[in-house]
Amino acid sequence: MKKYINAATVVVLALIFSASFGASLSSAQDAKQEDPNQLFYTGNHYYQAQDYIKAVEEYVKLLDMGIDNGNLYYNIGNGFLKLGKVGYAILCYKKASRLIPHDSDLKANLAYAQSLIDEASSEDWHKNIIVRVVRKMCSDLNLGQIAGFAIAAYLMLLLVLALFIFNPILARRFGFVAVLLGLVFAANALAFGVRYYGEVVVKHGVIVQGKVEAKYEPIDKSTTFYTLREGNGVIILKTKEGWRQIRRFDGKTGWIKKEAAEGV
Amino acid sequence: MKRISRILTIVCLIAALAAGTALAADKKFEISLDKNRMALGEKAQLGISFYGTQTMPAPDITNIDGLDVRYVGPSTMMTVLNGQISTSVTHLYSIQPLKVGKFQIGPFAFKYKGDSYTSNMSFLEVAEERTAMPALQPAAIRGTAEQLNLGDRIFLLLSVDKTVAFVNELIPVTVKLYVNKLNVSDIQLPTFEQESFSKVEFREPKQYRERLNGLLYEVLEFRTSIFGTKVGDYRLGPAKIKCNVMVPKALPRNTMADDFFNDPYRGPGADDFFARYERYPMELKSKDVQLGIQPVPAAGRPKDYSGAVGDYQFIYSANPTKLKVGDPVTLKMDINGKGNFNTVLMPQLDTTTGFKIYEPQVKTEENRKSFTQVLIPETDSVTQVPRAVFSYFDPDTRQFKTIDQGPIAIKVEKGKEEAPSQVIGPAPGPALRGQKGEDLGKDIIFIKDSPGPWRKKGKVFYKSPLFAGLFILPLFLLIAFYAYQGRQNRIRSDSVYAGRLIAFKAARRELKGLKHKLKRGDAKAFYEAVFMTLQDYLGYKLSIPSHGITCDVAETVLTARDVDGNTVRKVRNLFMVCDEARFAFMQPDGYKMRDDLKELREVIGYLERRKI
Repeated sequence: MKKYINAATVVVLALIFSASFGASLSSAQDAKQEDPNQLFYTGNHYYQAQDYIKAVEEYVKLLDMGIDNGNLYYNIGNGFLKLGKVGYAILCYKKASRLIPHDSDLKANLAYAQSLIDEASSEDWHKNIIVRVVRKMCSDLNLGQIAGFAIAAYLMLLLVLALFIFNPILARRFGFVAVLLGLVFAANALAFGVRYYGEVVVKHGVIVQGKVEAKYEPIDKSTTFYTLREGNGVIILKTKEGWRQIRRFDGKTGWIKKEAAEGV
Repeated sequence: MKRISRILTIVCLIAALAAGTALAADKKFEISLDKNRMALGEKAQLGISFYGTQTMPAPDITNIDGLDVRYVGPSTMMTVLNGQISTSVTHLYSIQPLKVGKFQIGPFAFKYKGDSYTSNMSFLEVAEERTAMPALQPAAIRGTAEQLNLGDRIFLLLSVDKTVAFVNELIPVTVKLYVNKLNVSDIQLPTFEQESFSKVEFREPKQYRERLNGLLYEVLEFRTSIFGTKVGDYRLGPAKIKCNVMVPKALPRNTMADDFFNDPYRGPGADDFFARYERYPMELKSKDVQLGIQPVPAAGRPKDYSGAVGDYQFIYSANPTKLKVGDPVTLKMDINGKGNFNTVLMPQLDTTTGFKIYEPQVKTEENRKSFTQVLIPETDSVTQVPRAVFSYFDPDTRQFKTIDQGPIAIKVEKGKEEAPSQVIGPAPGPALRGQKGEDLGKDIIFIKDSPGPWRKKGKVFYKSPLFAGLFILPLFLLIAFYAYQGRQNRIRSDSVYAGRLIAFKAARRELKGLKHKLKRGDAKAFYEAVFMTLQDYLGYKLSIPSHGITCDVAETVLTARDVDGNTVRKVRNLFMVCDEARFAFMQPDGYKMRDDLKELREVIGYLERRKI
């Protein structure tokens, strides 16, 4: 009986978590303001006491406050993994990896969670070699950091150009500095573009339900094309009347129920 | 061995026998008389009550020597309070003594459905003269609730444990509902006027029986505590309770029946057979009570006193006592005891230097209030958590008391520079291998201890106006700088271009000076300035030495550069007027000077537009 109650609690938690993701920023600002640090430490306290349900509840309150934090998503992911919700755990780890991609603990836990469903991360694979190289080079930086490097290189380039305008002799002697800075800026701009396209333009998602049938059409009685498992990564193409059109990383598209997948 | 088993068997048998005896123990029921003394010829009423049931049949007790006992009927009672139902049935008997004396009634015993029931006993004293309490008239239990005179059958008492108290001191308040042989249901919680007192919250009521003025009452006792918020003399109450009283509805009667119904000993149970009950809502009111509220004395009041009144204990603890910089240490402050916990605030910490502080969490329970305060040491030089001081006023001893706890020693170590990763890279394969080929366990890495910097969702640098500004603004600045530098270079290398720029700037400056000279009315000085302005302007503009420019030179050069004839004529006129004023001592008036200044402006404006 207790097992069923726990299972029901986890399901409710997952629903609250989904709602928190979907909540707009304005509604988040309306939420009761509490001290985020206090909530975070309270969540940690519950986690240490192995009360994972309460731990996730405390962490989710922070999401309701409209907060984005890599360590927070990491801890929620751990909580969900302990509760057996691999799909939500992978979803949280992926959200965390957009904020703290350099974190080795996060990489290890994400790989561990994916190993539970026998899925290696195939998101990084891309047929364009330039895209693959750029992704690999910037894998430890988040979008904001890449943007920061790009803007720094750009400002330095403009500063050097201004010096050259002021004193053209410098341009003749140190022109290569401007060329180097220009290349650095171009590389960063390219990396930013690739990552922005991959994270913001293309909507990645994770299957959060046990076994999900992808159908040819957004109709219940439609033929099943293929089956997805909890934790599988997909690309969400569009959402329509309770259905999501998704594409698997092998390029196969299908329709699944909206609640079966959550956007990263 | 055989002996031991025999002893064990005997012990088990004794235990089983004792258990059986306990299970077969008699169940109790109560008997009660409405009066203990009466005169010969009067009647008394005997009630036999069973609680928790309404189906218990009437026991046969009619065979009592010296008393004529007749069964009247059952009276049931059901109380619904906050959703909790309690039931009882009272079988009523009419007792008429046949002789004078003292009679023992009970204890009665009988068996029902395998259970044995035994009662208490009661005594009845019968005298010759009339000494008994007057019986209730049947009219008192007929008619509507408003018409009923139920003053002795159901009423409310309000009492307080003390009539003088201090501000914020808890005053126990009791409201008792007395019911005598009436069916009462839907009893609401008591309410009363409480201006200048705290909000009232009643606990679950107690139910018991009490004999008052010779009558046996069912009592429902509600208890709560209030405290005065202002100094002064106040009236508390009256307390009010709303309930429904089940009253038997009178039926049309004939003379014979009336004789029967007029039986003064007929209780409500007797009507069960002849009348139906009706529900009448009632609001019972108690008397009010006087209360005096005194101020807490000012003398001897500690500085940190925050209004707590009562008798408390204070327990203070810190956990963990060994930690790293940036890790939280939780202070737990428990206040236990008797008193008003609404006014108990967190004990004061003497100093929190070296700690980062968060808002405390407060938990209030009955007779206890807990405060949890998280502190984060910012340096490893911190050696103890602060001392905590709690002061309160004890109304019993009329003295302030201060409890001083701590400081508690803690050991703070330097934090890690950057937490080293526990696992490098993604976890490989199903089992990890150790140094000597041992199988290592595989699980997730522990949660993060600290959150790091917080950020609002969607508030990212690359979507901010600053990011766009950093791209666009410096680019514009660079373009502007480039244009400025180009102009400066041209000025340096192109004297004609430089002369043109200087001509206009100088002319503009000198035109301002001419305006002042015009105001002064000094014609000679004015025209000398006009001459110099025109000469300098044309010199810079036409790239020829200013001093060599005369009326004829100017006319020749301007005509050669295809300047409008009207402008050339104006230039010529200006030179001539200047010569006349400077050398021929002509005195032009102010109007003429203004016209000439206007003409000079027109000439300079035209030549600037033409870009000659």
